[in-house]
Amino acid sequence: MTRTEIVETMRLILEKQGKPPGSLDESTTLREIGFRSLDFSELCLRVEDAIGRELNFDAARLRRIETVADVCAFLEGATG
Amino acid sequence: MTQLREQNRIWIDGVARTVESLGRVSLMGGDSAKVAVIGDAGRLVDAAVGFFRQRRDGVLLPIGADTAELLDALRGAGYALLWPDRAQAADPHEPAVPGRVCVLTSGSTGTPKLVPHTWESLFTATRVDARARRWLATYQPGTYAWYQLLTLSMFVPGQELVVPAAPDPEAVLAAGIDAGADAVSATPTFWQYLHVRVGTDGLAALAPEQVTLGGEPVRQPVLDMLRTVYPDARISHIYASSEAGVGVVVHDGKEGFPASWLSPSRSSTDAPAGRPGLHVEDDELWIRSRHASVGVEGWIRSGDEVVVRGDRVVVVGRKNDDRLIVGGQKVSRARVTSAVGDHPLVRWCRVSTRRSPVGAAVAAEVVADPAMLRDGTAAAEIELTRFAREHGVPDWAVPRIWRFLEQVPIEQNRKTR
Repeated sequence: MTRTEIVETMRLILEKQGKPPGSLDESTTLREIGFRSLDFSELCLRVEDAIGRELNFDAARLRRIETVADVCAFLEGATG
Repeated sequence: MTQLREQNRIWIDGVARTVESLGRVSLMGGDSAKVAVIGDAGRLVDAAVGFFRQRRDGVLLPIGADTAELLDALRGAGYALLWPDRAQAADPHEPAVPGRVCVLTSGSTGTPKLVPHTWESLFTATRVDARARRWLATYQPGTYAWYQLLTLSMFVPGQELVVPAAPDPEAVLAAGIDAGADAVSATPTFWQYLHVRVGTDGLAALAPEQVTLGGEPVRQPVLDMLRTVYPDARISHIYASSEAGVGVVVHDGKEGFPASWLSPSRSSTDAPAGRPGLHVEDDELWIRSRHASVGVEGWIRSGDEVVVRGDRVVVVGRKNDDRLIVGGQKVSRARVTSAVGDHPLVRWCRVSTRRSPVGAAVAAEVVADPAMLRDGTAAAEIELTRFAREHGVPDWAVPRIWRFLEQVPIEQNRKTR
């Protein structure tokens, strides 16, 4: 998945939860848009469905995620 | 003792046979063997009548369900295996109990198992109305619900049975139409599957006066769909289990049964004659039935979860099956399935927990009316998410992943897992 597709998937997830983000770019923090752990689980499952295999990642990196850009970088790493 | 109605007709693969002509082939092993007969639906009807005539201790297994694991289990239980179409090898066997018939549970509770019955416990339609009927047999041969229909045509005058040769629901429906069946007993999944596949018009080619639902929890949307397709039919639903026997028969077109039928406690003996004892404890239905399987007496827990809605008690699913667990919180799968399934444009759904590397989330598979998908799947997801929330599903248990299927994934037992 491209970074743009990841951001659009995050937007869909938030809209579905009734909290559409006013603006959403890579500098947006997850706290600003209320992107919670369950939203992140959903995002990971959607990415897995899109790439057709399970994600593989370093748990330590997960704890450092703060922004949309961090999410994109994390998922790029996990799908690589 | 029940008595065969020799002149009743059973239609096997389009050919009418009298009961008198069935069950005449001597089964292998002499009277002393427990026998498992494996064959197509027609062979199994013949074998079942043979079990009765010859007081044989037997079990039936349809082709397709005869997995190596199940055959090994039957051998292990001392059954001689019999394929009526094949030359037979000698099989080890154990002494039979004359008149016992084992029912295969249909697998919705996990691995199939054998539940011992007698012909007396299987034959529950002792108060059936006397009107002549031609029943379409839709259930998997050898299951409890299938024996309910078979015993009807074996023991009640004027009750005929149509036994389709092929197991797929479209072929079963076609066989019913061809034979002019005027009564059908089937699982909700059978109807949901066919509604999606052949539509209202396809279903309406069958013209039943009686439609009976059983084998799975029966929800209002299925009852409403059948009422639309068959406005003049009597629509009934049965709650039963292989172990407890027939529990409840309801004819008013509403899901569940009246809460007034419940006994206040398990020490109560106030159930009216002819109706089993029913009691709810910790959201689970308990039953005390005179049609219970061999060795079962008094109150038994059904394993089924119920909810009380107004003046009705509604069975929603298995109580301890597949609890959805997300973030340490638990809810029954049946409750979420039930809430999503109440959406007027959902024709079928199933939910489960999916694990991601960062935690779990609830996922749903849905067969939706095309109208729901008109604006794309994203819009459908938003609508279903809103609906589930508004219908009491806790926030964390609302499905996050929605998969839209084109047809209902029906199993050989006419149910879905």
